[in-house]
Amino acid sequence: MNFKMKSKSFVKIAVILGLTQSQITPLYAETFLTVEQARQALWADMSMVPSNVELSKAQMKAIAKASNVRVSRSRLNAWKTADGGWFIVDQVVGKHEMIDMAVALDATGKVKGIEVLTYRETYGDEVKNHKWLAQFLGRGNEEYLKLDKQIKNISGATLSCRHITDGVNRWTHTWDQVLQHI
Amino acid sequence: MPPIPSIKRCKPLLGTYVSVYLSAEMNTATLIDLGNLVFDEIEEIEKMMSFHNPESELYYLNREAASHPCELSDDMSVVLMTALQLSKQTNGRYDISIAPELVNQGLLPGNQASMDVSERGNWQDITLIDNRLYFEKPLLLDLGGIAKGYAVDKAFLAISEQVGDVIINAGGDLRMKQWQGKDVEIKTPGFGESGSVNVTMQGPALATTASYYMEKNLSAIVDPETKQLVHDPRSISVFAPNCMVADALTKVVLLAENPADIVGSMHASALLVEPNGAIRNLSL
Repeated sequence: MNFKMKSKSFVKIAVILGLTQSQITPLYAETFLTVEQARQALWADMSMVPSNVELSKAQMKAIAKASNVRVSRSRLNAWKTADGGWFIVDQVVGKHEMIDMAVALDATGKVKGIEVLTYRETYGDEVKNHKWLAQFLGRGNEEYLKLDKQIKNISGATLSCRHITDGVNRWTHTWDQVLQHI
Repeated sequence: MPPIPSIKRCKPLLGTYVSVYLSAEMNTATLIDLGNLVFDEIEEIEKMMSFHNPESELYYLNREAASHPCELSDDMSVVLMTALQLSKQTNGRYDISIAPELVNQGLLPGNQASMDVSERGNWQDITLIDNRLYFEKPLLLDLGGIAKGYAVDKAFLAISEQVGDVIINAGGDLRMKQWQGKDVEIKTPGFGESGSVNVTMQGPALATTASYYMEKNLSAIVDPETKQLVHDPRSISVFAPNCMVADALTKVVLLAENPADIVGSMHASALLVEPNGAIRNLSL
């Protein structure tokens, strides 16, 4: 009884502090194209040069205000193409986990294409359930890998991809505020 | 022998995540091109059959078909014929004209749906002859429960002959070339550690319907007789020769009085998964 209470309150504190990040095992993780393959899929043989962007505090604030999406990172992994477009590798927040994405913006800042590189999701609402969460405490990344291998195809009620819309808003406003001037 | 080259891609389409697995004796660039073809086909069907896009063929039909017969594309014709056949077989329990209820529930945008429910018709007021469509009464069609499956089929058939294997999964509506003996997982939130149950494919296509992702008191499935939303804690999975039929039959199983007969007549099979993970075969 005593132990139970302890572990429960530990979970609560860990969640508040964000300590469980490595311990909340994503139950569903799937990898798709590599960055190089995504570059080929979105830009074919177009030449491009790395142009990693470090956003200033003011720029982050301006992008967040214009897109209504939080900007959590100052660094943007980006490549500028020979025809003035962009290839960006970034993450968006899914229902609970980060989704790795590659996006191509054309020279006018319009989205030319999107690829999901790694999709991760924990199983929805169960995350809020502390008892459910507790079973993953103390597990490491090896479990994550095992599950990644196990999962082949999943059928279920449609999971909305609306989170991607936030990413698209953020990227197009990043172009508007910053990239088009580079 | 080196393994057969393969790629796996995923894009946000059809309001969900669409993933494509391709394997063939080809270089990566060619596999990527074939992947592009798959996504292009899906996007084309999505544009054609979108309820809310003012440029879609469906939008045009919903606006015009009550005033004059409208010429249909071949794709629209196939989907509507299948839907009408299912309406007939289920005595209207499956009906693609239930859009106003979904609009009222906030599940479909209501920009053209300010329609009085009392005066509108149902599937029996839909006339489809020689690729021409006419509504005897004002109607709003919603293809949400069938078009996604058709999009998967269209994309699948566009490249299937050229590759060793292809798997397209549009948010749970999936079709495989080498499906024999393959296992799939069916989402069963809250059950076990993985939140899913494992089953073996019983046909080339699979679709699953459930209301577990919907907010409380919402459902995308409407009972045409009571006009009430259907809440069923079970998920319904249908295996079928193609994904359009699998997609549509998931709703038929929930609504029809004789689902096993209809599922059988379409060369399909259905599984019901209870929230506790118990799997029941519909035909048994």
